[in-house]
Amino acid sequence: MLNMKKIIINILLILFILVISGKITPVYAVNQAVTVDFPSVNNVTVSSGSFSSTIDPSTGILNSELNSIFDVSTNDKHGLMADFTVKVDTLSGLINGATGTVSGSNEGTCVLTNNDFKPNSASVGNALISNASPSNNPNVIGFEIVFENQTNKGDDPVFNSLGSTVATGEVLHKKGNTSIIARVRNNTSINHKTFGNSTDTAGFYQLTIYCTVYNP
Amino acid sequence: MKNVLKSGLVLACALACLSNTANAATNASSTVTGNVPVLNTVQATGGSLSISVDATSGQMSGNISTGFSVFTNNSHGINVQFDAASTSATGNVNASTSTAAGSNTGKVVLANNDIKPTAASIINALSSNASADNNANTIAYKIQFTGSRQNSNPVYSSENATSANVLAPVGTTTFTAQILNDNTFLANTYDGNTDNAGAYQATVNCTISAP
Repeated sequence: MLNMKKIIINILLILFILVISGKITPVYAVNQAVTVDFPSVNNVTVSSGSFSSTIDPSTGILNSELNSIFDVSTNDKHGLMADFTVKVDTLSGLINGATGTVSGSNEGTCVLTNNDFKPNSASVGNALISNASPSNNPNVIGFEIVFENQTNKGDDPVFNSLGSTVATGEVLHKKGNTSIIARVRNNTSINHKTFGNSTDTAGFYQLTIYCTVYNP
Repeated sequence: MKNVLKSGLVLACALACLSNTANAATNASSTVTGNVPVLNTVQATGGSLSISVDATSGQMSGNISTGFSVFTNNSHGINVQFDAASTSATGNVNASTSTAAGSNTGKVVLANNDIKPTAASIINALSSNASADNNANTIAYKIQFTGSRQNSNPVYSSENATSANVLAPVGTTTFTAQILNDNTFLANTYDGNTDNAGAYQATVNCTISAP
């Protein structure tokens, strides 16, 4: 009898909240169906990585790979999409700092810009094209960027077309979690077209990787 | 009290259910950095390092020249300093001096390496009132510094300065130090009687430092 009393009190309390929220109108409805929408919960965080390295001032070669690991998760049965973009700082502000070089590939070209002596945006633009030359991209150094899904629960993010600035993919095919690693690594061809020891002055060269997740 | 707690929990659940927003991050970013350290280098690149001197007049048969290559990736550039030293009986002493402020030309003294002069002899040869009698086994010539890039000639900052300096820009700059076949200083430093036969030498030094 006591338990029944408690249940009634609780039901009345819920009804009171629903009334004040406008979901039900007690005067006109006695039997009102109540639907609770349990939302999709998507999450992305940067869990770890190798965030700094040294670049050889004679050759422009990274002494060790730079990388960032993005942990993603969803409770949505449809899985999770992830978009990756790269931004670099210039004299005229943040601009795109990566591009696809092969359609459908998880590999592309990215650039790091001198944070101490910021380049102009044209310098960044030159470094991202196929016929870049060091004299036309001072204070910018190009590398290869690769996105890899660390589990087989989903796909690698890929650049959908040549020149695309976004790497995208269904990184989870159903609810669960996985990690995506974004690697910045040496590529001789890109390096030769973007590094000049007389044009790329000493300083800290940076890029920022952005990840946005959403349901398919 | 238990009832109040239970009611509180129910209230909290109800409020949570009424909300359609999920408390999770859908964006994240990460910055990676590669450090390009400062790199400064200097090296001697050779040149016409020896020549004969006329035993009667003290004149050289041509110019002596020595080259240097300086590199920096420092956007502020690199200080480059040139001086010269000759070996006296008591060790190395300064062997060059300015003759006019702001000039890339000065005086250098070559010292007999076989019969080494005294330090005083070298000092006398460098002075404006040199006399051949007081600088035995030394001969003075003109020295000139030039840089390969615009406004890169090293210059003496003042009269009697012992080094010529310049701020070299980013990249590679080549420098030449020439000892000229010029008899401006010969009259007061060369004497066939006091300057013995031998190999007369000076060492040109190039030193770089952060600005």
